[in-house]
Amino acid sequence: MSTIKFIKQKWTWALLAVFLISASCTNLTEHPYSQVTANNFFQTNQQFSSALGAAYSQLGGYAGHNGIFSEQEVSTDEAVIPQRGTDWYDGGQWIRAQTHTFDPKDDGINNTWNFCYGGVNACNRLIYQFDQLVQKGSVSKDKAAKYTAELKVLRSLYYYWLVDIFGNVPIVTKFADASKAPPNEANFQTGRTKVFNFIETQVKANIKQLSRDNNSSTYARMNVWAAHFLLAKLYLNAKVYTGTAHWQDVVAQCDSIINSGKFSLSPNYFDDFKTNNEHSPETIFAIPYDQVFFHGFNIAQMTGHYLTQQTFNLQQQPWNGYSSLEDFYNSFQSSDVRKKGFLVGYQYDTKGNKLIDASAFSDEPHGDTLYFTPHINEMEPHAWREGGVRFHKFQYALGATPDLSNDFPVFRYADVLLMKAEALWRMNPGSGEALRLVNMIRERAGLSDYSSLSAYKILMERGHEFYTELWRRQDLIRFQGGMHYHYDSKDVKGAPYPSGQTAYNDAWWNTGTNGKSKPDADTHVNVMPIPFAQLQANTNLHQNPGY
Amino acid sequence: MERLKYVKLILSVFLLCGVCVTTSQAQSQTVKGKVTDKTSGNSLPGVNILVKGSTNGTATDPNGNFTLNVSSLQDTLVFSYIGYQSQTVPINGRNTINVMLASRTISGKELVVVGYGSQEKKTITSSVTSVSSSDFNKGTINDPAQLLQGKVSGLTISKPGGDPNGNYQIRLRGLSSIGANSSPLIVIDGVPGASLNSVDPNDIKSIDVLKDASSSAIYGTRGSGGVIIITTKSGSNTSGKASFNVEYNGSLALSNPYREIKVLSASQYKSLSGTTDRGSSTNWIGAITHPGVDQVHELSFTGGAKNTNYRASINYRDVQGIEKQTGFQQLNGRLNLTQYALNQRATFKLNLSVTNKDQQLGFPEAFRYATIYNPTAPIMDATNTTYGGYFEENAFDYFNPVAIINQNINKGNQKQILGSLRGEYDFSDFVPGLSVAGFYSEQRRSTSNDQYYPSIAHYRGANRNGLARESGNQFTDRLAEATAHYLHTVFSGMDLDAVAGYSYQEFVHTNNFIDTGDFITNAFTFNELGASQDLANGLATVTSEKDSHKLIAFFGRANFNYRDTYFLSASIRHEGSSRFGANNKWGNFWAVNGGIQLAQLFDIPKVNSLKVRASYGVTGNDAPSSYLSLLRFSPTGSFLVNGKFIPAYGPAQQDNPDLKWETKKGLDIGADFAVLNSRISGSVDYYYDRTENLIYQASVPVPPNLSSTEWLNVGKLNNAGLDINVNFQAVQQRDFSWTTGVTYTHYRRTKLASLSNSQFKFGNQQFISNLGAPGQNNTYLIRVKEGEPIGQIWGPIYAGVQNGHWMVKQLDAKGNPTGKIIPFSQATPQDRTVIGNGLPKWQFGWNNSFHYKNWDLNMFIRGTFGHDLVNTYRAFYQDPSPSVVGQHNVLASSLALKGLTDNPQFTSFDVSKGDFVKLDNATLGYTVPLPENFSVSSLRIYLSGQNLLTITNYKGPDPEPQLSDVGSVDNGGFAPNAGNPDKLAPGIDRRNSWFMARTFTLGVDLKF
Repeated sequence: MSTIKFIKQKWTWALLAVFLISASCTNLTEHPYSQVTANNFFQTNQQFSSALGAAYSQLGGYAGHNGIFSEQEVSTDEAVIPQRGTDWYDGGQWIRAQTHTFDPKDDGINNTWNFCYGGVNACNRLIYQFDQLVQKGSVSKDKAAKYTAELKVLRSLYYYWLVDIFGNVPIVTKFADASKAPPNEANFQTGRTKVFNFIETQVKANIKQLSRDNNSSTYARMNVWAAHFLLAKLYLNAKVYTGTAHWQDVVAQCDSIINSGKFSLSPNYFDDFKTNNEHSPETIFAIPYDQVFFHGFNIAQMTGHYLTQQTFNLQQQPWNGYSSLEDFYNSFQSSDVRKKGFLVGYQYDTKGNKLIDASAFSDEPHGDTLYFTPHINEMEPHAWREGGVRFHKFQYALGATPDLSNDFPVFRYADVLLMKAEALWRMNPGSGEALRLVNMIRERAGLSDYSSLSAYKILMERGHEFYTELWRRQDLIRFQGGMHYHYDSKDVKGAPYPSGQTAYNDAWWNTGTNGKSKPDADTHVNVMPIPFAQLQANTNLHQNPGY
Repeated sequence: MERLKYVKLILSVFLLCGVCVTTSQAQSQTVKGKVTDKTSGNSLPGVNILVKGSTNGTATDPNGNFTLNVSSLQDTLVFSYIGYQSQTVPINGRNTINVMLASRTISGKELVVVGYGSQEKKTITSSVTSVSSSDFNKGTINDPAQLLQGKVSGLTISKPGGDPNGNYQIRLRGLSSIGANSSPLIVIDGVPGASLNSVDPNDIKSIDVLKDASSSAIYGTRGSGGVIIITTKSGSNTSGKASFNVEYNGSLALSNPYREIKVLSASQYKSLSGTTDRGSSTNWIGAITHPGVDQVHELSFTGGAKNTNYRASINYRDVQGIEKQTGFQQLNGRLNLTQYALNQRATFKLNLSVTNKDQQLGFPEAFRYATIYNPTAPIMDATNTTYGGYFEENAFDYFNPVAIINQNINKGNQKQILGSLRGEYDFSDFVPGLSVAGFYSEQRRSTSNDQYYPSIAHYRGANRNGLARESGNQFTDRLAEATAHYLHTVFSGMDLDAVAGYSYQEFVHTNNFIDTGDFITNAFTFNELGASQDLANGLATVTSEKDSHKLIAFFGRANFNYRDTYFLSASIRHEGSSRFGANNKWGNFWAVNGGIQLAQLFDIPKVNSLKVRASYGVTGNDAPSSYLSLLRFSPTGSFLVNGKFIPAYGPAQQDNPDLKWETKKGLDIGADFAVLNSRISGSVDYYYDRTENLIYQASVPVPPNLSSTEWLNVGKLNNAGLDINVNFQAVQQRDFSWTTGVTYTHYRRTKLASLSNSQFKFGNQQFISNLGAPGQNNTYLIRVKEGEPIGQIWGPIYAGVQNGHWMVKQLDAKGNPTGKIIPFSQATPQDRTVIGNGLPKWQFGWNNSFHYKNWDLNMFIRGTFGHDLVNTYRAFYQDPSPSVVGQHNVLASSLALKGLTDNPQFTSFDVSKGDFVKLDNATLGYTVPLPENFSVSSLRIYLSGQNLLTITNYKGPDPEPQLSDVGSVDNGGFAPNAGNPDKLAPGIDRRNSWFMARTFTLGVDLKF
């Protein structure tokens, strides 16, 4: 019995020990040391600004490869990535973009979607968080209202790209929507017009809260003028998005900007694109790219030949991809200063020696000596490595890193002038004001004045003024097909295109093989497919018609 | 009386096991008697007595007495009893028969180390394989994982290529996790989570592999991948007299490249059209490789006196890789000390190991560029001062491989200290069978990597005007454990062996990294980062990080053994991890297993042992890193405020307070057997595992989610397979013996049953693993689809070459060939299908040991079958078309494709079966006869060859399975997934893999 008693005591002690252990040594709270969580953020003013920054920093993806830039540019007549032998086939993605045979699985399309909705989500989240902070009393209502209005207009910009590129997209406005289940709400993909209306309403409702300043406090931010520009763009394409034109609204929005007197054309076209181009008088809204702080502007890598590294002493070898099309380049008059925005002909290193291209194909017209020919022998599979002129409208600073420091002027005053001109011309083809505005742009480019306007002239002027600024696709879609378009009148045929066909649906690749020069069979390609990965992940999404 | 109830219960089970006793018909004669234990003389109740050749029988009463009616006194009786040898007794006309039964002893008392203790092998009823040092793989072994390769069925150990600094990937019974850890837990001398690099292969005494979920469930959230328990050698002193032994082992080895990729010679290359003749003739592969010289020395001291024993050892390894200027030097010291005290009631064990490893990591890319560099190009070009006198050309993804390895530095260092102290006290004086132990261990590990690329190096350096990269990691891991061990005889024949404990383990990790360039001089290399102008210009990348996590557990296990015949075991671990979400910190992981030794119950001719067993267990898997359940913000770039950039912060991850462990439920049914006087022995296991709640970083749809990734418990994986081990002592004579052993594993391919949960839908299918540049981006090699096996290789089906074009089969909407073949350029997404699978189907290992007088010979053959490999060398570098060969060399196999003008395109032509059989090792040893009382007590000399022969149709460098994918790298970039390879994408042999090495070793083992 005594033994048992002892055991009992022993077990009592043991149990006691276990309980003691459980009390002191069962704490499993996590201790983040180098991670920022919701608990240790949003403490100071600067941290609020940092949070707001997340909605803007998303814009870094605008001018890189394999996203919105690529899809907007390579699907048009101003840029192509031909398959240069072993290089750039990439599963056929870039040939598909150029020939409008988009595959919903293409990376670039999915990246475009994620770029836009990443921005939408950042805005939604911040709107929600500012609201929470107001409720807690840690931020004043007025301060939050200003931030919130700015975020709603910025979100409208992201939706603007979505409605333009994908058309009928879901409208998600609440952070609460960010539940884990895919949304199944009433306003989910309710039509392109609804998205148009949403953007219009949002911008109009919030524009008054925005700053009217145009200085360093609003640079690269959504101010009143950026909001007017956004509305002008929306109205300019309203007929494409909704079937109803809004030309007079375009004029009104442009006038708000023009009459403010805060903007003017730079005397020199290339000043808008130089390395230190911030605060150009022409810039209404820019993405403030920077080689240290704001990465993502990679055009020198994307378009330069491998050896272009030695021309500009670049830190990385470029990729020899994006070229302009021969007809687009040749459509510039030789006196047009904007034609200087390309690398053409022999290429030199920084010491002035001609570059020798070890990777040249044996059939390149200039052999081993690097020479960019406007002519591209074929789109695939064996385009010359030196074929095609390269984009050089943006300055490439000597010794630049792959991330250029040039700011990207998304909204430019020149566009205000040309938007207004186009709207006036649409309403009255004989408008003298329209002619004056177009000639302002031409004069700066060193060209003689037009005495009259035509659709062809306006579309061409826009192409020459805004190449590599991502407007080309929507411009082509806004103009009727058949007037196209090898920039010299002999290919302008007029009749054979079905009605509804746009300039975007024309065939502009006249040197391709495998029947690549056919015009689009129908206009379903005027919006891009909803990405495969999104459809997979979200069963509420429906593919655009025709895909 | 209570005990008798148990006996009856057991007996009824026994009856169910197949011995039928029926009541007799009309009887004429009566036989009486008593049955007792032969050694103790105790009476035996419940002994079965059967009339031979009939169903007539009875059993003894509680006093061991029986009465049986028989039809004739000339009949024969059979006495059988659990745990005793059966006896056949002719009645021979007697009416009283007393029988003494001898207890059965199953030969050997092999101890197997299991979680938190050891168990006699005969009592184990879960799937555990024990490999002792005498059975380890032979030859030049620099990594403990190598000791086991092919030795344990169900265990895949793979390291494609001969990189001396590469790590083996280890998987037990297929893939158990895709987002969390899929390697087995390593336990070294009781320290779970210890680094395999902290132990030298020479110091290992035995390795025990816990294969089924039941045996590994005691390790809770770390048991899902299986457990490998390593026990190091220690001193032993049974005689009580002071002793001292010294042993030296040393070897010298020579490694050569084996199975180099065949490329065109300069003259073959020039015979193709469109090539560029640079006027020279260079064997690039030869220029970057050399015979590597290795040396290994081990000195150990073993000794002890009455209450103390110890083993101290020191190991030095100097290994050179087949790529010039690669290798490592490792110095490892170990002390294992045991001290008995307080009348031998108290035991203290100290284990201490210290390791330093200096690594010359080299550049795997050198193999890629040596393969494709123009064979007519010279190595040097004295006029090229920009690149330090090396011949270089400014083309995409093209670097002089000799310059890569000569100009650049890539060094590593690893340091490990692992110390543990165990104190145990035997409380038998108070509570018989009870002992209590406390255990503390601390592991400190640091790794560093230093790289420098000078400004004159075309590869990485010139672009940055000199580039230095340094990274360092420090790991601290502390463990405190308390365990109680209790041995008890519940009643006669029923033994209980129980263990219970508490474990607290805490891990801290810090990391720092810097990437900076633009140096005024290359003289500093990575030693003076302050000289870098990138720092001043804001172009350097500097990061640092600290994280920690904790695991806390309560655990217990009870093993019941009834007369070495019936076994039952159950375990539970209640464990929490700090990494789980707030709502799910703690989980329960439990297991039961049981078995019956049939040879105790029945006399089966020539069968010495036949144990059937079944087990079921639930194990877990911890989250792969800390803070995954929290809403985290991270820098998302910068934001311009009033002309000044300030960092922008955005959510990097959504919170998931429900994040919890992965759960693996595993069933194992097996048998262990020994026949023909135990000359043939082995085991067979069938297992079925199902992993649920996979921890996966899901790509969530961007509306509505905040961030495009979230860590979720999502989906299910299924694994099943068959493991077989057989050993055969074929010949055992005085001068000659031959022992052979086979392991065989059949894997049913790991099936991704689901990758969805109630909130997240994976969707129909996704495509991953990009082939890469040049020209083959947006070309995905792997399809991931719910309900399909993991590792489905995806692409068009090759159908020859016509008119210079790659032709592929046209497929209909269902994926069946229409019979038409089309050029690749006309293939649509519909013309792609499953063209292979990256995971192996079955593998075997076959060992043979021969002894003849003083000679010994060991040969080990290993094979793996059923896996496919994407040979990316083929996918990029075999088209002899002008646009390819104008750039670089191509594979020798391209000569067969003359006339092809297409550019490289990925088709099933680039996917090959990886089936192989390798003669991994052959070792011939001679033990030198020595005079008695010579100062050297034993001397053995051996010659060993590693990777002697590989039989395979695979044309890439190494047909070993590629278990995960590191992603594509080009143009001197850094591998995106190097630290976290994608387990959903096995089967891709990327272009950076090392060629194999074949090694010959001459060694000596000396004992003093």
